[in-house]
Amino acid sequence: MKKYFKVWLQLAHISFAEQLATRFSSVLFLIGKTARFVFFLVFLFSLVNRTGGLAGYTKEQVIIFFLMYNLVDISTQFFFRGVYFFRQKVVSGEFDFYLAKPMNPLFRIMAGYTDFLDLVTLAALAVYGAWFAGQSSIRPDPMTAILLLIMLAVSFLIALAIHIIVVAIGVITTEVDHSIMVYRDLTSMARVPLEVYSQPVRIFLTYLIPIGFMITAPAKALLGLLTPPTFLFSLLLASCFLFLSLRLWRYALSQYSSASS
Amino acid sequence: MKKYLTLAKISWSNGLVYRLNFVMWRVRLVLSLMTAYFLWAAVFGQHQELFGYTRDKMLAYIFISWVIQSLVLSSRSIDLAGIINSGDLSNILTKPLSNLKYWFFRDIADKTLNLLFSVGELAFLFLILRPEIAVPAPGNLGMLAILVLPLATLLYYFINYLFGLLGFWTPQVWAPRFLLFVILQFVAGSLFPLDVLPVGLQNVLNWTPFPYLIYFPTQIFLGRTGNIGMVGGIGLTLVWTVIFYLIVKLVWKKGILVYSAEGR
Repeated sequence: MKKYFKVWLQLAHISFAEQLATRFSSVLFLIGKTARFVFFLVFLFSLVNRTGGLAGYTKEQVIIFFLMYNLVDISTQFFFRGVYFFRQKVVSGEFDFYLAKPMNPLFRIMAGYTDFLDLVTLAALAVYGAWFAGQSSIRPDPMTAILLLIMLAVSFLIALAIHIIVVAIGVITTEVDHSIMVYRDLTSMARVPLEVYSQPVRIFLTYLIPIGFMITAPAKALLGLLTPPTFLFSLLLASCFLFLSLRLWRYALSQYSSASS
Repeated sequence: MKKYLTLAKISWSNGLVYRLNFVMWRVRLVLSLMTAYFLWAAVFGQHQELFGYTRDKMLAYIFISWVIQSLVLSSRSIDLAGIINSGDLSNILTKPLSNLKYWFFRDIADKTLNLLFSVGELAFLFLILRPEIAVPAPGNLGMLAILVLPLATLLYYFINYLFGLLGFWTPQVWAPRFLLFVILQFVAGSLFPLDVLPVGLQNVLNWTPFPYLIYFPTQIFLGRTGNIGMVGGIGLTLVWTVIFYLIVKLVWKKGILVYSAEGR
């Protein structure tokens, strides 16, 4: 475990140095990420100010769903940005070097690039979140806070499983770029409560590819809307999904032919 | 002209070679349409009229803007910066081709392909969702087809081309393009009509080129602009198109002077 942490720190250090070396890009990416957050927030406020709420949720609750979406989405990108660069490693044959090292290749792929720009956007989100919490009437008790932390951990596990599936597909088909962007598009569907969508879409986003669940469950925990069966189901879902993704990863490795190297 | 048409045909065939890529790209666009559709359907589940739209008009906006987006924003000239960085631009420069026309005709092929798929997908979604949408008056269709859509297409082409030309000065071209995508996503009117935003913000946006890519053509199609608004909008689209054309010409001239065919 210590070895892995040391390697992660080293890789994160390299990522940070790389981002410092490309300051022009980093600044523009930061502006883009911030603009995306602000634009959608302005739109959401325009909408809920007029409607008073969305899909049965109050204005305040809708904003909490959106903030929670950002928290889960940005944190997973912070840790798993390496997946976005994985295709090139397979196509160029560089993936062979990962396999030859005394380290789990999956860890090397996932933690290969730590996006510090997301850390900056997380900090900005925290500042806005703190301001919003100050204005909000929602005051979570300690039990709710613990439940929220557990649900965030569950979300992180589901996100990890989905990223493993994406890299497994990458090994089998060399297609990563669009798979990961489809994942991002699906997560962005959960910027608003899932109740907005029709029943089949909700089932798809909850059970088949539990992205909607991953994003909205922490928000529901914070709002005190998470029922005990849903809580237990979320633990089961995350465990099963992670197990299946690891099985797929093992299968993908057995199919890898190292043809490019 | 014949050589450019041949180029467009080759580009069309290329688009169909990488089928998985293309299918995944289309899946992403369909997801964006479904997100917008369900969001607005839920909003209008509890309200008869909002922001000056009824449910059927808003859904019409969402579907029509999506098709217009497939036409206006589809592009192959997105590869221009990469070609400059890799030095492969030399292949085009040594041929009797205009670089501006080369990418334009490649774009046309990509737009045709995307437009055809979007119409098919739309028909499929209509069968599944059976949405009730406001059928626009046909009065403005001619104006839209002959003037507004070609202008919007040209305007986006020049904006996109300009971002590609950044490749002459820096290999870090993905970041500016990411910023452009974010701007387009929100202020071109693909996710929502811009008149749902605060009036002050709308007034500022109306002086930028972005609303004239999707929002304005869709509003014309829906007959929501009025004659004065239509003429004013067309005039501004024309002005922005000319401005970007002149900038592109100037930047190309400067860029080609610093081009070193690095990587070849």
